[in-house]
Amino acid sequence: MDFLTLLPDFSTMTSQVFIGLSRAMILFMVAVGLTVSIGVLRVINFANGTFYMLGAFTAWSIAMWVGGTAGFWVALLVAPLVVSVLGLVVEAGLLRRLYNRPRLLQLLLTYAVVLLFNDITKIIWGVDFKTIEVPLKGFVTLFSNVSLPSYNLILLASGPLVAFGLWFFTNHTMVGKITRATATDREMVDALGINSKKIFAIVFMLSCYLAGLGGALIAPTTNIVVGMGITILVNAVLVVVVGGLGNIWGTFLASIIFGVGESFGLLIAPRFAIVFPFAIATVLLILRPTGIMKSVW
Amino acid sequence: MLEAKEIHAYYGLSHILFGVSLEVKKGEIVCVLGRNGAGKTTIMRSIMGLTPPRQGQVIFKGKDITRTPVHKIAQMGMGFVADNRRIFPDLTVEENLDIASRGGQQKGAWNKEKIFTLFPALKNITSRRGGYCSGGEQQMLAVARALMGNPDFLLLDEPTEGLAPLVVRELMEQIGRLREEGLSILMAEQNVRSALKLANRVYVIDRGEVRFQGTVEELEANEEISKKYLLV
Repeated sequence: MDFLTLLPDFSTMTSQVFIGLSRAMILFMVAVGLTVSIGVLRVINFANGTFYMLGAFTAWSIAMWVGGTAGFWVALLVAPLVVSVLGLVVEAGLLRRLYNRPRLLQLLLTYAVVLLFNDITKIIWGVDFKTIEVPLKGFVTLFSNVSLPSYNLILLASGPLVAFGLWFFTNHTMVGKITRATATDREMVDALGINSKKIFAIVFMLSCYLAGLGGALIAPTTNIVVGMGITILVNAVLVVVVGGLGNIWGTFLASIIFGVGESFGLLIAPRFAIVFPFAIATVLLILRPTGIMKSVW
Repeated sequence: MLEAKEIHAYYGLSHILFGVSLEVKKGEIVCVLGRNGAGKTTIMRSIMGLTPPRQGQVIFKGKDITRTPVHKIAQMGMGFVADNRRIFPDLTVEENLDIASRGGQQKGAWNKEKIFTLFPALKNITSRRGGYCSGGEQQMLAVARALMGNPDFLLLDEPTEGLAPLVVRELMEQIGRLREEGLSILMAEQNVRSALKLANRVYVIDRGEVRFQGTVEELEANEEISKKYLLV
C-alpha cells in the first residue's frame, strides 16, 4: 500500500499546521513565564499552569458580567491583570520566604499553591465546565483553499507580539536590563543600590500576567475546567527544558515544534497524538541535552 | 566615615572574622593587606552587608548599618567593587553603567561622560558585552559601575588581581585621582607594593584577626610583620 495515500490532502495539512501554531502560541505564554521565573528567580513555578487556569475562569466571569461580544474583549484586558495581582500576593506572602531555601521546598510550595487554587476554583466556579462564545465568528481563507477559524488569527498574532514585547522589555527598558543583571548576579544588583526583591516581584507578576493572558486567550476555544492548568504545565515544563532553561527564544522555538508536532500527530495517528510531544522532546534532548538554545543554568 | 567595631563573621558554621576593628576617615585610602584566605574579602562583604556580622557593629556616616539591607547601604553612598569584578556578562558595557546610575543631577555627579574622562578605554567599547571584556577593562568597568551610584565611600576588593603590571599602574593612578575627588576608600590587596604607594594607613590581617595597624612607614619599618604575614 502506498503510504502517501494515508496522508491527508495539502489544504487539511496546512490548516492543521496553523491550528498547531495557534496552540503553540498559548503554550508559549505559559512556558515563557515558567522559563523567566527559572532564569531570574531560580524557582520552578509549578503554579504557572494554575495561573493560566485562573486566567480562563476570571475571563469567563468578566465576560459574563459585562456581557455580549464586548465582554470577552474586556475580559482579555482585565483578567491577566487580576491574575498578576494574585501572583503578587502569592510571591510576597509565600514564595519570597523560600528563595534561599532548598529547591525541593520551593517545588513543594508551588505545588501546594496548585492544590489550594484548584479547590478555591471549585468553591468559586463549581465543578462544571464553562464556555465563552467565540468573539470572532466565521473562517478566513488562506492560500485560496486553506480555511482557518478567524479567532485563530488573533492567537497566531499574540505569540509573536508577546515575544517581541518581552524582547523590548529585556533589552530596551531599565527594569528589563536590571532583570537581566539580576538573572546572573542578584547580590551585585543589590550592591548597586537596587532592591532586587522588587525585581523578583515584578518578574513573578509578569510571568503570572502572561499565564493569565494565555488562559484568557484560549478560553473561547476550549472547555474551561479545573484540570486545564496541570495539562498545560506538563507540556510547558517540557517546552522549557527542550528550549533551554531561561531562554525566551528557545522557549518560543520549542513551543512551535511542540504545537505543530502535536497537530501532525493528530492527523497521522490520532490515537497516539498524545505521545508525539514526548517523543519529540526525547529526540531533541538526546541530540541537545541542555536544550536547543543556551541554558542559563 | 566608616568604623567597624569588633566584628565577627561566619559562613554557615565556620567562623571567619574574630573581632576585627578598623576605621576609615574622610578622604583616606586605607589598605587591608593579607594573604589569600586571611579574611579580606569577608571584611569587605561584612561592611557591605552581604555577609552581615553576627557580633559587632558597622558604623557608616554615624549610623549603625550592621543590620541594614545591602541596597539601602549602597543608597547611603557606599560603592562596592567585588573581587573577580563581577561584571554582568550578558549586559553591554554601557548597560552595566546605566543600571548602576542613581539620581546624580547635582553638580560634579558621576555620569557616563565623566566616567569616560577617567577611563578613556571604556569609551570605545560601550556596546561590547561585559563577558567579552579583558580583565583590565572589566576592572575599570567594575570601578566605573560603582562610581555611577555617586558614592562617597568605596570598597575595593583586590582591584589589581590578575592584571598586567602596566594596567595595575594605570588603575592605581585612577584610584589616586578618586581620592582627589573626595572619595574615601577601603581597599583589600595582596599586591603589597602597588597598594602601599597609595595608602594613608594599613591594616594587616591574618586568620581573621588584625595583626598590625599603622602608617605605611611604620609597616615598612616592621620587618617581622611583613615577613610573617605578607609575601614580600
